[in-house]
Amino acid sequence: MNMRTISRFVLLTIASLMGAVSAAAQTGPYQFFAVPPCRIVDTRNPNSTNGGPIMGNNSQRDFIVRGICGVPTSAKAVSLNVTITAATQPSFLTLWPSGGTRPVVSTINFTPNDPALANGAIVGLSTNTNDLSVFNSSGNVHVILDVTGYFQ
Amino acid sequence: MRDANDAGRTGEEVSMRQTLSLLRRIAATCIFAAVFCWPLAAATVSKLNDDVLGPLRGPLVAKRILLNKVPLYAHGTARIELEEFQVWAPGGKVIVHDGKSVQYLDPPPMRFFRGLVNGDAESFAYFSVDGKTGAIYGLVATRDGKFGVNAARRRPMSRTANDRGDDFDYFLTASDEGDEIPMTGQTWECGVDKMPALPHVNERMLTEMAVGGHPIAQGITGTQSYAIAVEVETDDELYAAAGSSVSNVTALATNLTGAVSTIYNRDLHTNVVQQNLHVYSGGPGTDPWTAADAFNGLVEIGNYYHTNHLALKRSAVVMLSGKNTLSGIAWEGTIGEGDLAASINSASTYSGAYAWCGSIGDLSGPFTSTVPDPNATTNGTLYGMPTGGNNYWPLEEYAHELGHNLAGHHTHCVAITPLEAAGTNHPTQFFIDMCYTLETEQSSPFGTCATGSNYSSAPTEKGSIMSYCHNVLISGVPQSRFTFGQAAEVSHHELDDYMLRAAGPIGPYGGTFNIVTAVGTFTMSTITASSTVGPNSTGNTASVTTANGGTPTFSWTITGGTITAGATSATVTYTAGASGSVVLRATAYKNGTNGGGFINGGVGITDTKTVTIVSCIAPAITSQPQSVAVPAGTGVTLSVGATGTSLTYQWYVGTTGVTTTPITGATGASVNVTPASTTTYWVRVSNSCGMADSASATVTVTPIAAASFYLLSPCRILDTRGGTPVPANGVMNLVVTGKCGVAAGATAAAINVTVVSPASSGFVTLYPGPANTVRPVVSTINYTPGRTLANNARITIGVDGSINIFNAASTPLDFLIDVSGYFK
Repeated sequence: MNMRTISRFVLLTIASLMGAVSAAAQTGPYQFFAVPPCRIVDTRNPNSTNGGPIMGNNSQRDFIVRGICGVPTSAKAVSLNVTITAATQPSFLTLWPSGGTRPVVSTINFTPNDPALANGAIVGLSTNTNDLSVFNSSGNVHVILDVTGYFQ
Repeated sequence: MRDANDAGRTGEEVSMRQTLSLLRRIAATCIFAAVFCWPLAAATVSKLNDDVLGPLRGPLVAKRILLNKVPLYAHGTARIELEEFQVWAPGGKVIVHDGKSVQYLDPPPMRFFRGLVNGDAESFAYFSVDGKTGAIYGLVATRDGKFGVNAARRRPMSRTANDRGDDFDYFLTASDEGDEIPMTGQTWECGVDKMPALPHVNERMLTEMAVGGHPIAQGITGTQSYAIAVEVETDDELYAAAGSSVSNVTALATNLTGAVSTIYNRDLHTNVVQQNLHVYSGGPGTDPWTAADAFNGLVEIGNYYHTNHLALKRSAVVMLSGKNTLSGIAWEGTIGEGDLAASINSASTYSGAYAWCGSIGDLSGPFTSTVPDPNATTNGTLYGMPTGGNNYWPLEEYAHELGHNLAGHHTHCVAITPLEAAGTNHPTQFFIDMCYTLETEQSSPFGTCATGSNYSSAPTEKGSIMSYCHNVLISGVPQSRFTFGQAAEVSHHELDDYMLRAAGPIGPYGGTFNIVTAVGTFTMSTITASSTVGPNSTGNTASVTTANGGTPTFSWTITGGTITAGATSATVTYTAGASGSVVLRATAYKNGTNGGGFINGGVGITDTKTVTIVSCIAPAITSQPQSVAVPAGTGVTLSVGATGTSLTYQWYVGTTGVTTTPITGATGASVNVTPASTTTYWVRVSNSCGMADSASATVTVTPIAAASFYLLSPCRILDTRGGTPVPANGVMNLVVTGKCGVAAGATAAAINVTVVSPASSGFVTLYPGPANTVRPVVSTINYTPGRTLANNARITIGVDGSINIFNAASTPLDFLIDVSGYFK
């Protein structure tokens, strides 16, 4: 019974993130594992895989989530908070499991008038080393990802 | 024990400050006379070699040293246990008066050792090592004999085809043939049947001394020890007799003081230290001493010190005169008294703690000996140490006359009388000096020891230091043992009693005594220091610790390196030399507490350690990698601390020593690992001269509990409006379990957070409780002034069911949390 409940929740959430595209694949069911909140990506930091530089116009970055902040390599999805700051153009971010085609969804929308803005999300992780892709549509923007749990 | 009325004893043995008593006191001093002068039948045994005495020269000489197989006997060898001790008072100088000017020289680099032979409480062993030449001078005495040791550096021409090729010539000189007889029983002339058994304390005493700086003291209860500082005078006659050499006179006087201190320390728990040594090198007639005999010499030195050194603090002044007076003399019971006016015969002369010893180093006439030669290659008298026969005279005379200063009377034997044995209180004279009465030079029915019939039957080799007759030469050899006797013997008993009562500011004889009361024993650790250092390395440290006695004063000397800090602290810092070794030497000593006292070093302990200078220092682990438990997926940094030169590292998976699974690229002092399951690691630290393996460190991976989602009816779990907002730059702790249907044990909640019309910009961090949890650097929602904004989140709930809400803003914040479900 619990399994059914969680699976429904996950599917619903992912489906909503993906913009209700009918082709969204279903996997699972998964269970949730809470972790202490942990900042896993911050592009304001010095250049590195999960650090700088700032995301540029119409650009994509692939970050590493599994193996960091208590997220095991077996994790299939992650619960996180997406924060943007220092945006230069009205834009949006798309987060999706790396390696696949970028879905036509948006995770957070923002304008340069937002000094900083956040949104919660649950995003799948691929089995690639750099398992989470982030796309920025326009201008430059700093991206910060804080993990609060994972699913597997 | 002694009766209380001892303090009021009368008679010629008692020294009082009043004139009448002074007259008696001088009468109680002694004048020696050498009656016979027989050729000395000396036996030289040359079995000593570098193997036996070499340890004394080693840099590793510690608190205790054992000389094995010393060939004291014809049919066996002896074992000599020694401790190092100090003869010079800190700051003491060799003061050379050359008739025109005065020079203040530092004491020579000598090291001093004292101890016992075969654990015999009555034995005596004293050695000094010349720090420059390595020459060893020593004097060893057992109940059977006395042995002089000298070992000067071998001269090339002295080598023979049969020698071992040692660097030193060794001569062990017995005072007579009989000395080679193995130790036997003994007979006592007085009350032999009352003699207590020899206390079997020596091993223990030496051990205590080594550990705690506790001086050997037979039969003494308590832990007190004393030090007396002696100002040593000489004269131009001694200078001439010693080959007109300042260093010869210095070596002779210093060794005599060291040997005297050995006796005093063992028997009376009193260290005798040399404060200043005066040498007169200007030739005949240039010293201040014009008196021709011991008595006038004693008066002269009292007057001289009254005039010239009135304020000089000292416990006693000892004159070592080269004048051939055949006698010595001293004031009794005056230790620490620098200036007693109204001396004998004249109110204008002065007495005090003065001891006058004649015929020191008088190497002609009755004290015939061979020509002194510091490089002696035959049996001879060394300036360093008397080596036999009548050359024991200076030591016995020095110890004897100083003993008078300490209120010792003439005794030589057991003091117990039938009355005392019966437990009857009785006047002092019935048990003090009964033997002295028998051997007295005064009106005795037996005649004097010098001339009467009693002398011819005087016991040989059995007198104590305070014996009168036994210091008279028989067969050219003074017959006193180097001891104040057993604890029950009067000379020992008397002096000890005196010392104990003199510990206060006012002694039993009314003076203010410059006896340093003991400062109590304390212990000093051996030196803690790395056994190797790099060439010219800086910042090396060595330390000692002390215990059981408060804070002593420290003194470090370092050869082969340079002290950069802490020369007088428990920890010294030094720079090593370029090569070879560094010898660290730590001394801890304590000042006395007597208000009238002078001397430092009432109790002192020394330790020495040699550190090798090496170009490669082997690795040594200083801090181990630590085991840790982490949630699955969490990275861990393991680190090791190590010392050594040019270290390399290799980390391995497995337990220490297992090298089958090295971690590729993990070649630093630390490594980052993220094990999927519990894993053990270790690291090997290596360089060209060695390696060291760390302990194992285990990273325990703790699984995170899986949780299922429970859907709730949407419920506002927090609304600060109208209540207490989240404080500016502050934290609000909120218990969420039990509210809105969130079950106890929930690990996370699915929520929506809303900031309501913020007054400033900022952000909020939600993180698990309890309240004192360290806040992670994350954010849950960012906001700007005036804009009500919401965000969706899944937040971790603390084990106490609470969350923390941190508001990073300059103004308080109204905050809403709506819960839609939880995970458990």
